[in-house]
Order: sequence, then structure tokens, then C-alpha cells
Amino acid sequence: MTSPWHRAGAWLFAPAPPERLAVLRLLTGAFSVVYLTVRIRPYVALADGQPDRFEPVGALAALPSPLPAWLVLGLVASALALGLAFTAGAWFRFTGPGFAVVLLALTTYRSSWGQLLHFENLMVLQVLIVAAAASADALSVDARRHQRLDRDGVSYGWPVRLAALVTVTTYVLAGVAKLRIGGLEWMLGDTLRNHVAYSAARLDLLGGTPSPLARALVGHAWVFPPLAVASVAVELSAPVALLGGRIRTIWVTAAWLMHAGIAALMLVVFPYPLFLVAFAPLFELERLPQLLRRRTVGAEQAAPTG
Amino acid sequence: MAPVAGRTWGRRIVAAVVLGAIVAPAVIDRDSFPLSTYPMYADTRGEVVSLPIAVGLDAGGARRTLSLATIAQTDDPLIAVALLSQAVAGGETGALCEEIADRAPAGIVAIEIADEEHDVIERAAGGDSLVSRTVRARCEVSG
Repeated sequence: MTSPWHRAGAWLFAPAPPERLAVLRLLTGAFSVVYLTVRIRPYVALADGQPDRFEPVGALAALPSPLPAWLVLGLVASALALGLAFTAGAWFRFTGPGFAVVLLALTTYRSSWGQLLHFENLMVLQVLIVAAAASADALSVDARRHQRLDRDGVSYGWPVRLAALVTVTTYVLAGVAKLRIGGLEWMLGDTLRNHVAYSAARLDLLGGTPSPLARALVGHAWVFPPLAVASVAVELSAPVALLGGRIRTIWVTAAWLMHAGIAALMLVVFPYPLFLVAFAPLFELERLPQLLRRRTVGAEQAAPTG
Repeated sequence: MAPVAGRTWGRRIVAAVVLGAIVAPAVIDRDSFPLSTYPMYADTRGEVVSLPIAVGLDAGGARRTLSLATIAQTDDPLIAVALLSQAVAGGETGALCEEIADRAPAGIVAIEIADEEHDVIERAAGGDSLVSRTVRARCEVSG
């Protein structure tokens, strides 16, 4: 019989085809570039940040003052350019780590103005993992230029498994935080209802439009404790997703529904999990190109000719 | 050490360091970015909540809600609240008031920054939610 330690090692270091890691590169890279493009205004606005409001965090904690405007704009432009190269897998040895570092710097800088923005953490962590791995050995510009598949399968498998572990761990930490900070009251009391009502009031008072669903539901206090228990249960049970198969798919569906519920009730959007990229490392991603190819061929065959 | 065994140990160490770094903020109870305790909405919250706000006043003295863009050049209420809270905590509401006044839309003659207490459940029901109000700064809109 093998020990849990050995089983964990066998799971983490299971070999995988290069396409698995390559698809994770495509998903994380494409998501990050689209995210930066859609959110370009707040990033560009960082160039005009008031020095007295600068509260550097994380890797930038030692920064004594805000960056000059030209450097912020340069970071935004280079993040987009490097992100495209990262996604395409072009000169990945340089553009991969380059994009990860610039993305880390830019998102850390954005969280350095008195408000930590928790919806960017997982995106950055997974890009850092993908960037440090051999993620452009397939489905990439680099792979077209020169075949370099002399690595063992573990090189392509373990970064994806590590990214999956990071996803799962962040959910467990969020569940632990609710129990540690809010205690049982968070699940059994009116806390969730009050959070939803507070989000609606905040938007209302600050010129936004609150969720109509929140207004309709806040009057029914009994709805919220079961939702709170379900949320904490989803977060704490995240490790079951590592088992794969149906139980993983059930957990991913539950976690996605939780985020969809948060978006619908509080208008607080966590795009990375809502677009499923956060959960991608939990799946056999090498099947995705085959599935898309099959669908495309099927659609072509079904299309009327003449 | 054989290269394969060395590589395996290297990967184990990297995996342990990455996971240790992810868990560390929860152990030392220090939230940061991108390593976090993930405390979003983890605190308990009562029905009566204090909130810093900025409103416009028209020529008749009536309060007008300002947009998130006018208040904080953002579309994110979290950032707007953080900006107002920072200004209140740092005693810089006067400067922020002037800044908002520069972005005020037509018809607004003055800006007020205030701490307001609201019964958020009452507000969701469409009732009168204001419990208390403390004005922190007031400034005129020029031009």
C-alpha cells in the first residue's frame, strides 16, 4: 500500500501531454489580455494617481512614491504586447516571464491605492505558474518554428496540477476566512443578507444602479442562511475537485453558481472564475482542441452544400 | 544525485514553496496582493452601516447623487468607498471635495462629503434609511 505522501506525489507529478499546459497558457493569456483591454481605463488612470493616497503593497511595498506616469503607461502597453506574445507562445522563454512580471507589477500597483482588489489574485498567480513552465512547446508560434518536445511528460503535467492546487487552496482560504472572522454567525445569522443589502445601498448612494434581485430578495431573510452555509461549504470542500471526474464537475458547477449568485445579487463580478478560467487546470485541457476540431468538422459536414 | 531524481526534488521544493506562499497570509493574518487571506465579505455586518458618501447640491439646496466617475473616476464602488474612507481617515476631505467639484456635472453648485449611517434593510425595502449624518466637508463648484 502506498502512503498518502506518495499518492500526492504521484498525482502532482503525473505526466501529461504538452497540449494540456499549452491550452492553459492560451486560456490564461487570452483572458488576461482581454481583461486588461476591457479594464484599460482604470489602469491608464493610475498614471494620474494622487501621491498622498499611495499605499504600496506586495512586491511593490518598498516603493517610496508612485511611479512616474510614463512608466505606468509603459507598463500598460507592455503588458498588452507581452500578453499577446504569451498567449501566442512567441519567444515564450522571454515573453512568458516578462508578461508575468509586468502583470504582477501592474495589478499590484492597482491594488496600491488603499483598496486590495481580490478578483485579480488568482489570474496573476496562475499566469506566474504558466510563465515559469514549458508552456509553449505545443500550440504556439515557438512550436511551429522549432520542434522542442524532448522534455518528459511531468514537465507539462505538474505546472497544471500546481495551478489546480492554487485554485483549490484560494477557495479553502476564503472559507476559512469567513469562519475565522465572521464565525458561525456568518452562516447562521443575517450577515449575508446584510452584505447584500449593504452592496445595494452602497451602489444606490454612490450613483450606481443596485441589483433589482437584491431588493426583491432582502425582504425574505430566511433565504440567506442556507445560501451562506452553501457558500462556505463550496469553499471548504474545494479539494474534492482534485479527485477529478463527476465530483470535480459538480464542485466547479457549484462554485460557478456561487459566483453567478454574487454577481446577480451584489453586482460584484469575479470574472476569472465566471469565465471558468480559474477552474481550467482541474480538467484534461488537451481534449479542448480535439473537441473544438470535432465540432468544427461536424459543423462543416452539416452545412448545406451548393 | 541522478538528474531525474534531482529534478523531482526541485519540483517538490517549488510546489511546497508556492503552496506555502499561498497559505502564509492566512497563517500570519496579513492580507496583501497577490498573496491574500481572501477576506472578501468575511466580516459580520449589522443592519445599520456607516458609509462615507459624496453628494452634489443644486441651487435650491437639494441633494443630488453623483456618479461613481464624478466621485472617484471609477466604475467600481469599492474604489470609490476606499477613496472617501481614506480622505475621512486622513482628514483630507477638503482636498477631495475640491477634486470632485472640478468634475461636477451641470446644475451642481456645491459638493458635500459626509459620513452617513443607513439601515440597509430599510433602504432595500424603499423606506427612509438614514439614521445619522455628519458632514465632513463642503465646497462650492466654481464656474
